[in-house]
Amino acid sequence: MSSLRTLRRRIRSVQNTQQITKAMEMVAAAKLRRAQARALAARPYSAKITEMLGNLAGAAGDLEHPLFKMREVKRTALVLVTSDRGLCGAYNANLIRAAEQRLRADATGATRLYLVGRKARDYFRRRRYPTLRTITPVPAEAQLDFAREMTQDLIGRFVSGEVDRVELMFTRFISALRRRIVVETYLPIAGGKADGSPRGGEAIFEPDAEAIFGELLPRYAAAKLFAALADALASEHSSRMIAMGSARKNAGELIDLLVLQRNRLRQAVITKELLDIVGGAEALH
Amino acid sequence: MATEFELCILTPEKTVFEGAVEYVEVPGTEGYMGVLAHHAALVTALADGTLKVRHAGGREESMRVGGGFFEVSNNRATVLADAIEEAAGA
Repeated sequence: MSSLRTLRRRIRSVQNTQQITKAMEMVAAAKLRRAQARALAARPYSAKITEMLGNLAGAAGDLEHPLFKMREVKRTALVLVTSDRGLCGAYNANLIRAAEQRLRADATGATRLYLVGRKARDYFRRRRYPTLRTITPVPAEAQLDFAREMTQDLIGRFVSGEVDRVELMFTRFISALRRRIVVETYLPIAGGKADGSPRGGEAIFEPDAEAIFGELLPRYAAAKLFAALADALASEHSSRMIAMGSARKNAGELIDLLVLQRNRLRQAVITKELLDIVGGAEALH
Repeated sequence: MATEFELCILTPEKTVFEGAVEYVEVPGTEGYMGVLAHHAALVTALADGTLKVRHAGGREESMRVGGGFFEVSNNRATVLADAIEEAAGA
């Protein structure tokens, strides 16, 4: 029989845990709001630059650009965006599992990892996977400079021929309760030629379409990566919020159970004492 | 009363301005250019410089632009700036 004292100690400890998870839940909720606002604020630019790219590709006909060029894929870089911190449910585990599946699916073993976040680094380093680069720490808020630097690095590797394709795997943020892991081809850039609207046809280009194209593509790539990183951060916070929320609920249930046990035990002790007193008094008569 | 057109100023991080304006002057790579309503379709790259806006009603404002693009089509102008620093109105 667990004594009353150990039961009380247990309740206190679970209460402490509950308090911590509750605090973490609230912090994650606040961070989620900010990250979500940031992810949403980035969308108009991203939409517009995609539209411009489509118009330009449609207007200028067959523009050649190294970032457009489909090559025979001998080596693929898989950019995996995870978080630096844990305690966010299955967020990182899901990403790592999806990445491993992707690696296994490529029978030639020509896919190399490009890792973002401490969680991915720890996992794949332990297993000695060959990686192109690992980036950690990740800024706590989606930062443009960070996305630009990464874009430049990826473009450099692509143009130099180190990799023939870059894939981007991250968690797309849908709503506070929904997110999904997606894989997108990041390089070469798929020109939005399907757009086909000819209204850009008579546009004036300054200096000329080709030069604008050359300026536009890296920015398009950076905007896309920035959006992906912002989504990943929002997803991480929402994942943590939900994980901490259910931890708080579980702690609550455990506390209820333990309190019930404690009350029963206390009652039993009181009853026993009463019986002793009554028994003692009777013996005196 | 000058005619107005829609102007949208965006950076990768946020929407800086969206609304009706009378005139906008941007630092193109080939030199500054001013745009009024009903301008022909145009796409240009931007250099670092000052962007000037005359809002509907005549109030003027200027801000620093750090490169990007400027597009006009169908009486809608869009500035896609790499960075914007809002300065005091001129």
